[in-house]
Amino acid sequence: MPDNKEIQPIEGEIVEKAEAIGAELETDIREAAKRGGVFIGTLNIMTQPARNLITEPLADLYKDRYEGKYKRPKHVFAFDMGLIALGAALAVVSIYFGLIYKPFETVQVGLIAEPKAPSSGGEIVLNLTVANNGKDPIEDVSAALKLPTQIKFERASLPYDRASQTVAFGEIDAKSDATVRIVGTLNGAVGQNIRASAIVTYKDASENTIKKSAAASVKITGSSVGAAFEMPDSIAVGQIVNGDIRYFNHSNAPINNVVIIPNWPQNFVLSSSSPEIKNGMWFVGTLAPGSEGKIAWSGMETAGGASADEFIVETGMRSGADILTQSQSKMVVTLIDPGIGIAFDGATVARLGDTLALTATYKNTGDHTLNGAALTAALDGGLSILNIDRAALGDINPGDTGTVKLTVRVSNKPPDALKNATGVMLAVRVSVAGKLDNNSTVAISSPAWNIKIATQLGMTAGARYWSDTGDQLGRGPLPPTVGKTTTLWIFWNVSNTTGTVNNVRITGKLPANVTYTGKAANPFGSAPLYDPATRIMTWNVGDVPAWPGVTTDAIGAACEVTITPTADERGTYAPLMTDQQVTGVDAATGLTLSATASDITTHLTTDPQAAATGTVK
Amino acid sequence: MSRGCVKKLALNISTALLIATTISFPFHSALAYPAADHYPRTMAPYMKIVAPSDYDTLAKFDMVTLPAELQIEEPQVFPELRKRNPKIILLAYFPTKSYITGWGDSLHLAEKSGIDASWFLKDASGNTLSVWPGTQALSIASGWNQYAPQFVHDRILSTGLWDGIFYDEVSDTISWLNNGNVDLNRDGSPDSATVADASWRAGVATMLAKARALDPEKIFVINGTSTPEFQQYINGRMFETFPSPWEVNGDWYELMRRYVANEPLVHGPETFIINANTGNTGNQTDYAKMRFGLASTLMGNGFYSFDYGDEDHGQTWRYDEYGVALGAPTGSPQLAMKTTTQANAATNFKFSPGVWQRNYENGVVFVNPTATSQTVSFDSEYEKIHGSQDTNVNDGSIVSTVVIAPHDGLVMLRPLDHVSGAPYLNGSFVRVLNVNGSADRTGFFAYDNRYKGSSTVVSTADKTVVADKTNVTVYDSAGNTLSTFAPFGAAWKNGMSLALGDVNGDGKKEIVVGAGAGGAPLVKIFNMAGNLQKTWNAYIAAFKGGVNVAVGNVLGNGAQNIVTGPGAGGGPHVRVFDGNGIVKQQFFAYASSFAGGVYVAAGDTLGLGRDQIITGAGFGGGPQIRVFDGGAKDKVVGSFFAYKTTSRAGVRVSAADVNGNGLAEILAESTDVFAASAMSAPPAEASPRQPTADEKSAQSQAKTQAEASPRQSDIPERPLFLGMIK
Repeated sequence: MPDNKEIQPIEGEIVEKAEAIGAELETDIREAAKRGGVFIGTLNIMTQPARNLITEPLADLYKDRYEGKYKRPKHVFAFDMGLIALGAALAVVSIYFGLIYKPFETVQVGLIAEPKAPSSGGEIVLNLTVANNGKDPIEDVSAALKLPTQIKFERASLPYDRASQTVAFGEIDAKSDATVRIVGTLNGAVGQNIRASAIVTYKDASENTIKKSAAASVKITGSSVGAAFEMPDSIAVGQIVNGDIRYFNHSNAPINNVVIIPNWPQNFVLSSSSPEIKNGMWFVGTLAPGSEGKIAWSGMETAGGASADEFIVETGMRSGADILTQSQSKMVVTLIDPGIGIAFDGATVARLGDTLALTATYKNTGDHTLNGAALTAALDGGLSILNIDRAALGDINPGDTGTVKLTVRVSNKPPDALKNATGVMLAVRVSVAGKLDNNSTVAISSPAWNIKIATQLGMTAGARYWSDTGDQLGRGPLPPTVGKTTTLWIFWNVSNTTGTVNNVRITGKLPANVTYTGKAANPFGSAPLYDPATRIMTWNVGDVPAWPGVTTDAIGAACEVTITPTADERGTYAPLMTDQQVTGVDAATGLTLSATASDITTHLTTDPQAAATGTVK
Repeated sequence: MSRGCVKKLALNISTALLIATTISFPFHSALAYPAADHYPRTMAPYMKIVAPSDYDTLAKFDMVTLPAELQIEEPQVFPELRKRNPKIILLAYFPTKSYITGWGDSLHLAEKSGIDASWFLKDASGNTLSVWPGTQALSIASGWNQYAPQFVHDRILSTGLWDGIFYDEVSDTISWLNNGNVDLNRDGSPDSATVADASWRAGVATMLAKARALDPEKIFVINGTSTPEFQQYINGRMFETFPSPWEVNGDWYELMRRYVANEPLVHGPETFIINANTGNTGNQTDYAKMRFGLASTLMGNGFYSFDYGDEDHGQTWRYDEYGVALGAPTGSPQLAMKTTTQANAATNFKFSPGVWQRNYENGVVFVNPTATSQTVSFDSEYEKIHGSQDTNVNDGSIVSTVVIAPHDGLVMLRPLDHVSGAPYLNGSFVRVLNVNGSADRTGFFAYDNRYKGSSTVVSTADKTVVADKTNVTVYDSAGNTLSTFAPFGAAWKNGMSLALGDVNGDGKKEIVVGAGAGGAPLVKIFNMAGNLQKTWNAYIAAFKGGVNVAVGNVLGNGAQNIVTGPGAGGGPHVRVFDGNGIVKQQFFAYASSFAGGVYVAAGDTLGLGRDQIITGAGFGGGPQIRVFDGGAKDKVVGSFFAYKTTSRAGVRVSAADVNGNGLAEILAESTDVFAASAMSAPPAEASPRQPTADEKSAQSQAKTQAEASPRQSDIPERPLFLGMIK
């Protein structure tokens, strides 16, 4: 090895051959490392990869950071490496003990629920065990349980405080354990996961108070409550079907707040049941253990298109606003479609008071015969049947078709139930009933034939001398006197019911001796217009909404007229305005509406203060 | 203490009190006088102690004559009356012919101390005469005619508390006294009537001339002669116990001539008084007599008084006619019905027999001095007063023919047919109500056919502002459009509430709008050009019922506030904002459970100098109106139904002084009159049927037969105006 004395480079001077010397040294070190005895050599071979991974980087590190920088670089390097190794070792130890290592526990707590797959309505048992594995007894041992709401406590093997859900074990000797068995009734939704937990508190030998917890979870897999449909296994469209729903409680405990929820086929209509169904379900209440019950029902499948109907019934327990599902039962029945269809033709809009002609056409496209068929009609309130030309249809064989003419009358006023409603549509339905293949009675209903009913446009008209609060509107003599002029105000009021009417207009005609003064009042648009040539007064009202004066301001106008009665009017009620009419177009139906009002005379029937003074003097 | 010392002390004390009064209360230098369009003008001779409970009623009169000694004994009366009525005329009573021996106040004692013994009026035997019990007569033909006006000037008018003097006992003759035994020249023998009367007349003229010279601006009213030579010195005279039976035998026509003929002759301002009374019977409900005197007064420009009689001038009786605002006269009195040969107007101020009328800006007055009922027809129509006293006559009816009872009068108004100064729903029926819910005027249709029905219109002197479903448009008085703008956008079709007022104190009215139903409760303030000044939500922004607005000085601090009420769907929650949108006050006008919203208005219905908040229930509620005095912390001062209680259309409200009486009337607007329900039989509470014209005629003819002319024996001998405090 070359003599490698430290040569302090002279600043600014280039040490000759320094690079060459260094390169030689490096080569020598490497060669020296490679050489060695057989054991060393074997060891070297064995550790060569590691050494390649470790020693070479260390050598580089030493060369970069230590060599030439310290008085004793190797010592410093060794010291630093030792520190690094120690720190790594400590970290490994910490990780191990912190995350992996479990020391031996002196006291252990366990909570187990049985059965593992409980049923709602049945019994559930929670076993809480406290095991003292230590060498000293533990004292004041107690447990605070947290039972889910689905578990109703029944009894415990140790004194149990229901209010605080606590049980006291007292003292547990060393190497002993204690168990409390808690029995309850389980009521929950099938499929629901429930969890019970407990916190055990005790004092160790050093009087330290220690808490430990345990929990148990189970899934409700079944229920003791059930229900099932009992009905014919085949039904026909239009056939009135009578059936039952039978329900039961197979548990040993009463089950409260039981509800039965039917799920009918799409076009199946329930017509009645006993008890009465409310909000889509029957509330059975409390089912005693081992009890059964029955609900009778009647209904009808109204449409075909499928070969079978599926009837589903669920049971549940009402818990506040929630329903905890318990069971579900299905019944599939064969659906026979008689294949008889009914279609309507006729008016789709009408005015109040109209008489309508409708045609119902029936056709048998199925494979069955409807024997002794008869047609009946069902109408919404406000409609009535005046005539059915052929109600008895005889046998309707496959392929048969026929028509029935109906005459329907629309009543003169909207049904009371539609008071203040907007938009009236009334429906007509017919039903063809008979025995299907001389067997079961079926009734096939038509779809609803909807008729839009136009609103009821009207007007009232009158004249006044006084307002209803006693303000004087009129002038001049009252009663009117021949040859003298009396001034009165004529009021028009538009009445309307269920829908908007567009382009409403009111007209009236003034007699020859009645003059429009030019004064008018109209809080709804333009003033009335008067044509002296025709003596026609016209008020273009515009669009009138539904129920004016009921839900919105009344719609009316007023104009001032004078009358100078003629001699031939003496002793009579002289006319003030004649030929009064209101017209408009119903917005919903497009129908033209009109109404008239009686002539207005000096008999001021709409002015009670002046009503007795109308006869012309 | 010697008598002289007592007198001096009393004088010093009274002077000190006088000085203190003058310093304490504002020196009243401006001449108070009613406005030129203020008719009828009323007067109260109140010769008694004025209690504080009398202040309000007394202040309603335009002129009051009071005992002169009140300036010392009750000096607080003057500021109290003037505070309530800044234009009130206060005259001090001064008898020119008598000294009341019962006077004990320092003022009159001082007066007495300056009266020379030779000034007392004596008969030929040297006895001091008296013209009224309890008095000593003074000779106006003596130095009294100098002393009296000087004393009045020095000791009464110089206080500044009075507007003038009521000189009582003024006559131009004296020979009627003591059967002519008067000795003016004190020669021991009765003076001849001619000499005595001439001396007397000269003495009165001398006294009045000096009075006028001393106080050129004060009001002098004498009682009671129409002597031409006196007119230049006086402002007018009183006709006591009109038609004064001791003057031309109570000839109405001559007395009226003397009344109106002298008006142009007097020193201005003319201040004539006609005093009618019950003839000392106390029958203050003799409405016909009251009307006759009032209507006669209104043939001229004078002041009217109706009281007990010459034995007691000290009443504050008020009558329905006193409260009407006739406005300024538009012409001279005219014969209401004339033949072709009769002169129409009072020619040379001469009134021909018949019914006379005088037209005023806002109405007409008729007087029937004949002894029979008279039927009068006219081309126009007039509205009788909605009275509470004589409802047989003042029944609120609108007529073009009337029957006037003999010696009776009638005051009528032109019917209202439009709303000015307040917003109204175009085409609605408007009832004109007072704060008690009674009709002040006959209702009418408020409809301007230049604008669409259902628009909100408000007209001022020079502009009209109209709000329709979308736009606000401002027109000038000629109908030209000054501006138009859409406060809530061009797409807005739900209408808006509208009010005008100077809400920012810049001296110009702003336009205040509130969004209609369907919009947020936005209040927006624009100037007349349509530029937005301020905007804010009056209620929670999520409320979509809109907001109703009004403007008024509701807090009484002089500033114009914005009053809001929610639209349909909102509770009756009224709020008062300042011009910056800060809530100053809020309350519920009706039960908080009512959800129809509330209409609002503001107006001074009580004459308090601040506006009250007026509310009307929204649609769905009854037509109930309430009046709240915001300055008194939401005190309910009125609550009533404006239309049939069965109605459920609510009632819109507005407020304006539509009849010119200085108080805002409540305008209750409704479109429910057009409802079919309004054309059905009335409920039990409907007003009774109004009598027909024939029935009224029959009533008044029956009344005519019951009346009689005053009996000669009832006419006192020269009764005088007794001026002593009771």
